[in-house]
Amino acid sequence: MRSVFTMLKDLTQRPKERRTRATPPLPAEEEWSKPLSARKVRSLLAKSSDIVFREFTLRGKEEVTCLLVYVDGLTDKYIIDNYLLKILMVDFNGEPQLSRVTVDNALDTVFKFLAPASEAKKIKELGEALDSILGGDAVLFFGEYPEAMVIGVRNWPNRGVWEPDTESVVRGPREGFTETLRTNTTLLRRKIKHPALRLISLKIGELTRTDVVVAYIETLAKPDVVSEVLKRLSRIKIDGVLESAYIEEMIEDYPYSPFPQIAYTERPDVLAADLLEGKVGIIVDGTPIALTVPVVLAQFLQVSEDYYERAMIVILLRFIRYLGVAIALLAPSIYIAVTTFHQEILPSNLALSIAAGREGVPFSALSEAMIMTLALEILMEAGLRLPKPIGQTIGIVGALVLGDAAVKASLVSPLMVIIIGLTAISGYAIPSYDLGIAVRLIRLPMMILAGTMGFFGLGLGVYALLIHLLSLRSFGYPYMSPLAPLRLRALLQDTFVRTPWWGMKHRPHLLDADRQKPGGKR
Amino acid sequence: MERISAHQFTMVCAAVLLGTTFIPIGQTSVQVAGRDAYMSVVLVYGLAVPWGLMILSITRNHPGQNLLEVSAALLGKWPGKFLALLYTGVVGYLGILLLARVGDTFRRSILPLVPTAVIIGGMILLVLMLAWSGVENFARFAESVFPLVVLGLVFTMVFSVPRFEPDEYLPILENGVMPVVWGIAKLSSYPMEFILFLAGAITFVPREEEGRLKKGLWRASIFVAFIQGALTLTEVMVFGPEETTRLNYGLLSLGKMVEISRTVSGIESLFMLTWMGADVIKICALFLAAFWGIQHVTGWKKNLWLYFGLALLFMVVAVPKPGGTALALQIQRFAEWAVLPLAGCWIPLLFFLHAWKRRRRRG
Repeated sequence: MRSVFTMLKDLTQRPKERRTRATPPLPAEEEWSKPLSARKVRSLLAKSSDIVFREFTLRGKEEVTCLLVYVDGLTDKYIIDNYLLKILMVDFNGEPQLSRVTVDNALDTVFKFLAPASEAKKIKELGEALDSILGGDAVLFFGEYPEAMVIGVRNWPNRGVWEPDTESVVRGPREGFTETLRTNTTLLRRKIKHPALRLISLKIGELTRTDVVVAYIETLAKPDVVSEVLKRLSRIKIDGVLESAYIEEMIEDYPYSPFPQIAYTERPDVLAADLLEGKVGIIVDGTPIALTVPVVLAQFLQVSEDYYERAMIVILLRFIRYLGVAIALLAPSIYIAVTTFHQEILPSNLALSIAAGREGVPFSALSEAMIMTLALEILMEAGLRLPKPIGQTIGIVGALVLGDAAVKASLVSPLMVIIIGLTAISGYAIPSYDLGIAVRLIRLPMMILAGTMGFFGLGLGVYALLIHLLSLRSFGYPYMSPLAPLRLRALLQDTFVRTPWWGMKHRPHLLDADRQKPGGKR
Repeated sequence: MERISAHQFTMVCAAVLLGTTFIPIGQTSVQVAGRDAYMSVVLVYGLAVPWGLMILSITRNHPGQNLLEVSAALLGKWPGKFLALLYTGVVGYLGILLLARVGDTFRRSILPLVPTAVIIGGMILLVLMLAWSGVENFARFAESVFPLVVLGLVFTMVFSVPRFEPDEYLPILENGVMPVVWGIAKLSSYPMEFILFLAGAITFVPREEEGRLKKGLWRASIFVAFIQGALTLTEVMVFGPEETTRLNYGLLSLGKMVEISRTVSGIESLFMLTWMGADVIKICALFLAAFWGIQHVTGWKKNLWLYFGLALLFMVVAVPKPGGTALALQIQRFAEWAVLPLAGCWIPLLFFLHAWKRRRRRG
């Protein structure tokens, strides 16, 4: 009983403390902040076959034994061979620059005169050395000197910048994020060439040490949102982060809500647009999916193309999407309620036509709809993971052949097939996959409520859903804004409709009430 | 401390003031004022303004306190506790009666086979969920649902226009002004229900925006008066005064008669969904008010078990209530004999006492 209440509490109230998974401290973790030593690095990494330890000698005033450590496959060997080892071992060995070199000044000399690398730095801690080596850089040790030099030589096979399959557009940029963090930040920086764009780096995951970048525009993002994002990220205790979804679940406000509270995108233009609205982006290494916070529900019904097409077209498209949500959520429930409880709502001709269609069907409207919906869900799940041609075949076989056979066998009525088909198609009109899943999830209880209590049950479901949605917050911002609390300007500017660009005189009311947008007519 | 905006205050005022009074208002007002009942309806909502302004005035010097706490400060601890107990009883029982009416309306109109306990149980669950989520959320709910309720009422009225019989409306004031005056007296408990809620909810409003609050109160009263007046007039013009007096739920009968383009015939069941939203707002407002009363008497803090217990009490008392005319009469009598005297006397008494004390302090 208590757990039910706890769940109810979580559904309606924002948890004060973020849940984090406690991971026992790892042995390597204790070594992390110890002083640097080449021997220690070698002992920690020696057992890994992909780590290369290259020893060589610098012949100066003293002979200095150097150790170059890097991960095979993550570094550019051409640069290491030709711009580091060749210089230190061949070109300058015995030359005046090296004649004064001792163990104590070797690092400074190489750093200043002999390492033609744009990305180089000195380090003192063991953790920094491990992070650099395992992140793809090369680290050069000079004997047992307590400092080392990191040289940026990262290079690994990666995917090109392609158009993302999940967010394709008719009109708009064709580039998408990749699995490489630096490529993604580059794509973002290409969109926003302003010093106010801040990229703050973090490492999350005790074993994976995944690089995470928090991106925001300092002059637009609210400081409290930025600090809240950083606070929540810093509280995450987890072994590994392999996808941004790990972070999403760890930092969202209401873990038991079916509704997405953090938006994600694979498109740099979408992330840039979100940052221009004052939101905060989270880019995670190893995944092309970037997160943005805070969000409102209306955002999940908007796509990047809304801003690339003319305003009048967008108004129609948005109306269709809202209609799609309503149909996907409520169409089967309304059909069940009307045919089971409220036949009086139908004029006689329509009622007779529906009754004729249902003649001979042995199931109640609720059972009929449940069977059809479950069959549809199975079809969708089956088609999703199969290769494209087979997936399409499954869809056609399922929808046409099985549907037709079911109607002929009088297992379901023709109208029910139409309703479920319409519901499925409307579900695809929802641009956000996460919101679509939430709608599918809520559809089933709605159908049960409508099947047991008619419109009253439907009302119970709809109002409970509304109360839940109204109580949600994303990083402190009401999820249902600008509808409730009402922000009329935002509602009319860019929610159900979109004003033409010249009419968007203000930034979204949600995050930044008073600032004028430089694009609008004055 | 939860806070609502000045706009939300206006919407909450309008939503609670309208509440579910649009269901019985036609019958109740026409019983006394005849075909001129709409005039009484329009005028009676004006009462919300002076009483509301009195509450704003009394609490101006007591920031963060509701009227129960101010009463304790002005009248003394025990009279304050007694008033809070009375307040809790009145708002709580009114909430229970309205909850019982929800069960009755649904059972009589569109769900004759579903047990009343199921309907009341479902409704109280919604109320519990909304109340537990806080006043801020309640205000947002009112902000979202109230426009739908108004839209539903306007829709019903517009689709009733083809059935208007202008003869039913005339002659105007055939029995003089007195029936209109008696109509006002009869209906004056309706704005007082809202006033009792406002007495408790005043702690959550932004006091620094006093001007906007006053304007909001005016706007809400005028808007609700206009809507209710139009609805009463519609019922009179469609059914005539005699039939309106006889119909327990005249609005639902109006909905039953609508047919849209041979596709939807009786929008009654569809609009029951919208009226349900109004029910949730009104009952939740009274539920919250009852809780504030209990909180003042006992000093208990917000607690889910307490909410759950109160909801259970609401349900247990509401389920066995009789339906139909008996229930309508019970609600009417309770409003006239309990709600009206409490709000009608308590607030002016406090206002004058407060003004007198302030003047004496200045003197």
